[in-house]
Amino acid sequence: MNNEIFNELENSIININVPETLEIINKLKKDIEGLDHKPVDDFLDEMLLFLEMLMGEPSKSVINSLLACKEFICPVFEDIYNNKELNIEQEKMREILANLLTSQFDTDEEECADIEDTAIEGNATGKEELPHTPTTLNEAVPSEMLPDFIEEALENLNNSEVALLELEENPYNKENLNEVFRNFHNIKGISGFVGLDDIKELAHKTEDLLNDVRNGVFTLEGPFAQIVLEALDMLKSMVNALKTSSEKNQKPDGFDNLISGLKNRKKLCEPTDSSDIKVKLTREIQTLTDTSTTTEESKDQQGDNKIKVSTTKLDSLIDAVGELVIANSMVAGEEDIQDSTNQRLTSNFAHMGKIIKGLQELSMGLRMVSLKTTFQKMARLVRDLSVKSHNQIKFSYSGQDTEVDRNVVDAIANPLVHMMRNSVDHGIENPEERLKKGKPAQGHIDLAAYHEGGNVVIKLYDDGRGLNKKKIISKAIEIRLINTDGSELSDREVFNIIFQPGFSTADQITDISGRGVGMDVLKRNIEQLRGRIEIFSKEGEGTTFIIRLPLTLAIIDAMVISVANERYIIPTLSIIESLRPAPDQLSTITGKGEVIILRGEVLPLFHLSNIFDINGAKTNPNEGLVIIVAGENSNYGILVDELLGQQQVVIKSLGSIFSNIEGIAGGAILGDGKIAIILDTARLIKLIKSL
Amino acid sequence: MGSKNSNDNITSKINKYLTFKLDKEEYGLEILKVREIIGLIDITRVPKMPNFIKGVINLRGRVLPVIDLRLKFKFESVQNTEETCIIIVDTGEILTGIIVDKVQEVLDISEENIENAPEFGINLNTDFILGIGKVKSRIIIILDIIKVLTFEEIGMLKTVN
Repeated sequence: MNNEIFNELENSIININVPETLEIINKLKKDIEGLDHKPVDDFLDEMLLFLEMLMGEPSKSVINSLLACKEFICPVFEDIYNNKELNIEQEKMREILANLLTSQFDTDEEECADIEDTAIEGNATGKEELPHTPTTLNEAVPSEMLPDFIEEALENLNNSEVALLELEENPYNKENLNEVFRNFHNIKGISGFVGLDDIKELAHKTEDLLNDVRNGVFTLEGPFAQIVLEALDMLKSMVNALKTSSEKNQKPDGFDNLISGLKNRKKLCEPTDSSDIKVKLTREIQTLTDTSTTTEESKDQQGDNKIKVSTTKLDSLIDAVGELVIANSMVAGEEDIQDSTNQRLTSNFAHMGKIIKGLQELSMGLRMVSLKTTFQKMARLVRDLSVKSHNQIKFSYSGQDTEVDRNVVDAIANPLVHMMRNSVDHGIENPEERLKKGKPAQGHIDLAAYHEGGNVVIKLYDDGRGLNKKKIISKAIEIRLINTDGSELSDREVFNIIFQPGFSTADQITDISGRGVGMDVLKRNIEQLRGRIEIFSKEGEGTTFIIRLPLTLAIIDAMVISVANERYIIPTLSIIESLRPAPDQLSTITGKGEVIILRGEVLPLFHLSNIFDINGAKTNPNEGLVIIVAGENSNYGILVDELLGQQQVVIKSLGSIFSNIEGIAGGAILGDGKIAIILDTARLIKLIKSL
Repeated sequence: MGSKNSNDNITSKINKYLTFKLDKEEYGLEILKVREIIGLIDITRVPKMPNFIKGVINLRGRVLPVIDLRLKFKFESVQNTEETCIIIVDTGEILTGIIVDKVQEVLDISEENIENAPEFGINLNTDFILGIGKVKSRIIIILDIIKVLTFEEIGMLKTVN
């Protein structure tokens, strides 16, 4: 080991040649790798990280700090080569310098000069208290800078949360630890830059704790993980509060406690009492329903380059493409085009049509977002809920890379939260009960998503109590939902009772669930997304919820049918089957109600012409087409004249004037420019029953 | 605004109104609320609605509801003619089309030439009339189009955000 390389290093630092410095340190790292000397290896990592994050011209204090580091490494390398371990002073020095590097991102030179002086004198004890960055903005933070800050801070917080949850399972994962550290570090930096001192202080104190974890002083488990999560939550709420007012907000409740908790982190090793663990569920709901203003994260595993685009622009683009598709169909439908003998015209037109189709697929893909963040939020929710309810729950998920339309992701969050809470609160039994039943003490909740038949399927499974049919029926009788003894109801019909407003079999209302206002809202939310929800359950074993949703909300796959001279649209998702019934499949009940018999099942049959007062339609079911769809508790058939075709249609809302009609989901513009009404078969049955 | 009499400028405002005919009567709408006028196009019927709500139309990719004003005012229904038009009105919240027999012109009517609607008692609700305008010998019933398009008949009230 000669001194040449260290002279080169000193020169590159003094001449502010960052790339060269990087190169030299990488070389040093390679040298030391073979010798397996962890602390110094880590220290060199720090330097590399620091250099990589360096922007613009390094200040004088930065250069001095780097020189101090170089001074340190030089003799240490000698020792290492002579097989000596770092002695205590050297170890301390290394710590100080490592902290020095990380604190260099503050803009105030004076502070850094102070620290570097004490570091070089070797008097400092390790973690220096940085005074608050004196702000040059003494009024409210300039509002132009806020949105970018909020966006970046929230992104950092979300990334940290994901890494933190993974760390809870595996506290020794260095990558995740660095990820968390980097994100808090960044928040400290950017909040200092815009003058948000409280946020900066909280981020800084948490960063200090994380630094201790990185240096092996603590492991990120138990109370340490918990306090970091608390800090994360508080930061989230502080950043979110900025959205509504740019004045420096009041410190939230518990801020000072949290700060002192972080400062006195060594005490966390002692057993804490459970009242310290506060899980604020209301803020959870806020974080779960918050959506960031960007479409996708800016870096993913594949290293895909991404840019942030405002969603309004994106939506406008997609709307415009939708219009283009419609306009194209309208031109294509013109006789002059279809019957044209002009070769060039038809081939050019066909070419244009292909391009437009490609454009449509691309634009639909733009709105697609993966379910990853939603599922990760669920992981956090289950963890917090199980802590609160004192159950042990293992949460697994799969299919988080399944992509769905942005709007679906936003809308699915609330229903999922609700179902999750039900599972934790009513489904999973406490460990003693489970063991008695021969189940493992730890409950299992699994969330899966996949594409099936042009739709997204989301399955939520828990191995808890399952639904108790007797209890549901008796409660239903009690509140007069049914007036029989319930024995004739199928499983499906019994389970569907829980979707009635106000229904709940909970003996106790907790603030997690039990009030009976959730399941019907859940079903309505899903139906508003034009989806379906089914429940499967076995008492004592568990419950599975299956939600089916269309891939996008704006465009659906649909069948166009006609009744007399009117055309209607039924989403393919709603159709169970369609057939031209044979005479022996049809019958009447008491001469008035028509039914169709399918594989032994008797289903009611209705004429769309009767429901919608359409004149001139076919009245004989044998000559028309019967479409079997799902109603509330059972399936039913709708008689129409003909099937005109299957196509993808753009859904347009008809307007608030028509919002009260049960059974109409909206309108679609067909290829000839005319509008056809889209049926909502789940609600149509309500209209039929009211006729 | 071009004004003939300097007195008018000082003492009363002049507003522009689009006038149209329903049967033999003449009506006026504040021009600022009129978006455009189109000829009759295909209207898709929406079932389960009162008869004066004719359905929806496709206006350059937008879906708009269409009201037959004759039926709303309980005139007899007549055959559409070449002069039948749809006036697209902007109520501030939504665009709506109204079918009228014939569109006339844009008229300047000064405030002083507009009288309050006469009261007929409970037999005839005239809330939706802003006033009665007089131009030369013509009587123009000036409509408060927002009130006209409020459909209590369907039990629907405009939601307040």
